[in-house]
Order: sequence, then structure tokens, then C-alpha cells
Amino acid sequence: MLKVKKGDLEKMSLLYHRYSRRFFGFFYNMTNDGPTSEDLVQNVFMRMLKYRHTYSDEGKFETWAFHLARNVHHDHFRKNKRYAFQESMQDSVYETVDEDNTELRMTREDEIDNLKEALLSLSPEKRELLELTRFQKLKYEQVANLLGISESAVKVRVHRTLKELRSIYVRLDQ
Amino acid sequence: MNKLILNDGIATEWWMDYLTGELDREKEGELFQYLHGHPQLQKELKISEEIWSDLGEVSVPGPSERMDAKFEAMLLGYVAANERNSAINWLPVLQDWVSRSWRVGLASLILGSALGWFVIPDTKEDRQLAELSTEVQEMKKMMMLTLIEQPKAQERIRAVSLAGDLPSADLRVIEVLAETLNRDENLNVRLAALESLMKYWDYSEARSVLVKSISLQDSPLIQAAIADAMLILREKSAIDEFEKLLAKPELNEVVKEKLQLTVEKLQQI
Repeated sequence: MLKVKKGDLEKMSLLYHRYSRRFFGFFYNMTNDGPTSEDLVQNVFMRMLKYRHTYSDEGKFETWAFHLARNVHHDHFRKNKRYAFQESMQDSVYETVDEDNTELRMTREDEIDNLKEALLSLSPEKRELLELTRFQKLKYEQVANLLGISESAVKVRVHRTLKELRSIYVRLDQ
Repeated sequence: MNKLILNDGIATEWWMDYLTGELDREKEGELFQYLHGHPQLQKELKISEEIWSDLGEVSVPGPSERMDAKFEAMLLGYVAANERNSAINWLPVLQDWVSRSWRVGLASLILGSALGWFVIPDTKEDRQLAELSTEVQEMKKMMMLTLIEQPKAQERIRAVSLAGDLPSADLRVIEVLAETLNRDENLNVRLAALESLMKYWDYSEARSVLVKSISLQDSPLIQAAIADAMLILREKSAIDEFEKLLAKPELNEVVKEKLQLTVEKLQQI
């Protein structure tokens, strides 16, 4: 990113190839909408180019990039107010990575489907918390910086969110 | 080193570190020892571990190829616009001049502020954005024209998808899409070209290309897709072309029925 900041804009292509799938996953889990997620990924990289002068090598690139991604998502959410989460993620035209369809895994797949549904029942803030810590594997310290809270508070919130998720999941599984 | 005295709160935080693999062995030992004496908390934390682990099985989809094509086009456009804007860069010259004297610097600052306030309207950024947008569009078009020549069908699909994304089309784009719809050897590419042409339904050239294409198609799939397209666009002028197609003895029976139905519906519009 420092090279991009210094004017070597074509280096942005490398960053795109390294991070675009992660951002797509982030937006997809937040919006449950493939084409929208693709547009939002594009917006993140546009903003990276536009605000490249604000990047400093003191912080981690990942944290800065997710800061932009969160802003892009918040702007989108503000404009659209709510998402159509009633649609099952499985109905998406986007192919999922897991293609194992053996009989033995069917029960497990049902359980995971219920878990996906439970995830969609969480508030956007809680879903984002799990998205950043569990799916994007950001360190608690990075998430604390992003959310402007202490690392301890992040851990406590993640724990509470897991508890809530578990109770929704159990309800759906009954 | 003083050891932290564990309580439920600290144990929970350590547990969260344990879940992400960030808890060192020493603390892990202490934590498990503590939990051994606190079965209720242990049970609660074990449940969070299960759900944390299950989340690892939630599959994440991948984006379509269009995302990469759009990014490449955007970057090409941005780089081109940036290079053009920086061709004459007065900033270093001015910086050098200003740094020679603080009085000059101060005067420049005041003058600059005044100019900014009174003279330069708030449109510079808008103009740059508009230029950038035009540049991106030109780059997309160039990229589309390059990709359409590629031997791989996937690349040609990317090309026609890019063409469909342009905010406005020119005759060259419509021509290329028409050529692809009528002559590409791959049906998927032709279908993608049809879809992109439909996005330019408000251009009479695009509508005319679609109508003319009807009698040129020999694939039942494309014939049926064009029939659907004409109904969506409510294009009555397609009736004659459909009738020419219906007169061909080699026409597929299923398509024949579909075209007859399409003609009837278009006549009712």
C-alpha cells in the first residue's frame, strides 16, 4: 500500500488479488447479496485509491482496509436501511465452496443451514463482530481499534454474541 | 512475575484468546485448572467453543468473474486519469517557491484562501470526478474491445458483460455486441451479448440490431431467448422477422410454437 501511496497505482492490483475475496465474504455475510457485495468491494478499492494519502505504515494495512470496508458497508446500509434476509443463502446463484453432497453429510448440512439462519437473525452489529473475529480472523486488538472499544470489551461482546447465536440456533433446530 | 488472580470475567477473556489460539500454554494450564473448579462456567464456555467451531463450517460463496473485470477496468481508468492530471505538476515548484521565505508563504496562504473562497467555485472536484468517470468508461470500452477478440469464451463473456455495464453506449459498442450475437461460435457468449444489448433498449440502433438478428439465428436456444427479449421490450417491429423465421421448414417445433405465441402476444400490444 505504501507503493500505491507513493504513486505506483498499479500495485493496487496486487492488493486487490490478495484481499478482494475476503472483502466479498465480509460484504456477502453482511448483506446476503452477491451482486451488491461485488459493487461494495469495488467501492472499497476506489476509496483506497482516493484516500491513499491517509494510509500510514504505522498501522496494519488490514485494519485500515477493514476500516474503509466498514464505512462502505455503513454507507450502503444507511441508503438501503434493511436487507432482505428472508431469502435463504442457499438460493443464491453464487456457488458455495463446499460441494460435498454425500448422504452422510446431509444432517450436518442441515445443522449448518440452521446456523446460517441463526447468524442472519443477529443484529448487524453482532453479525459484524463475528464476521471480523471469526470469519475474517482479525485479532481482537484490530477489532478493538476498528470499533473504538477496548480489547476486553471485544472479547466479552464476542462471548455474549456466541451465547445469543447458540440460543437462536437451538430454537431453530427444535 | 505476579500472577493474575483468575475470576469468571478474566477466565472468559482468556477463553476467547484460547478459541483464536492466542493463549499461551502457561495461561491455558491456569485457565483449565480454574475451570475445573468452576463447572458451571466451564459448561458455558464449552458451548461457546462448539458454536465457534461450527461457524468454521459455514461456507462462503465466491464472487463472479465480472467483479475482477470491473476492478481491472476501474484501475486502468484511474491510472490513466491520474497520469494525465499529473503531467503538469506545479505543486513541487510552488512548494519550493513558498519555502524560500515565510513572508511569501504567509502571503501565498492568504492569497490562496481568498482565491479559494471567492474565485474558485466548488466544482473542481466535480469536474475531476466527471473526467475520471469518462476515463473509466473509455477504458472499459477499450478493454471490452480487446477481450472480445480473445479465443476463450470466458473472456468474451467478460467483454460483453463490460459492454452491458457502460452507462451509455456508442455505435461501436452496439456493433460489436451485434456481431457477437450473430456470429460468436459459443452460445453462452451469444446469450450474454443478447442480455447486454437489451440493456440498451432505449437506443433505436440496439433495438434494430436485435430485430435484424432474429432471422440470422439458427440455434433454437437463441431464437427462444430473442423471442422472450422482444416480448419484454414490446417490440412490435419484430413480428415480420419472426414470420420469416416461421416460414423456414427446418425450424425446431418447440421454437415454432413459442414464436407463434410470441407473434400473437406482440400483435395484441
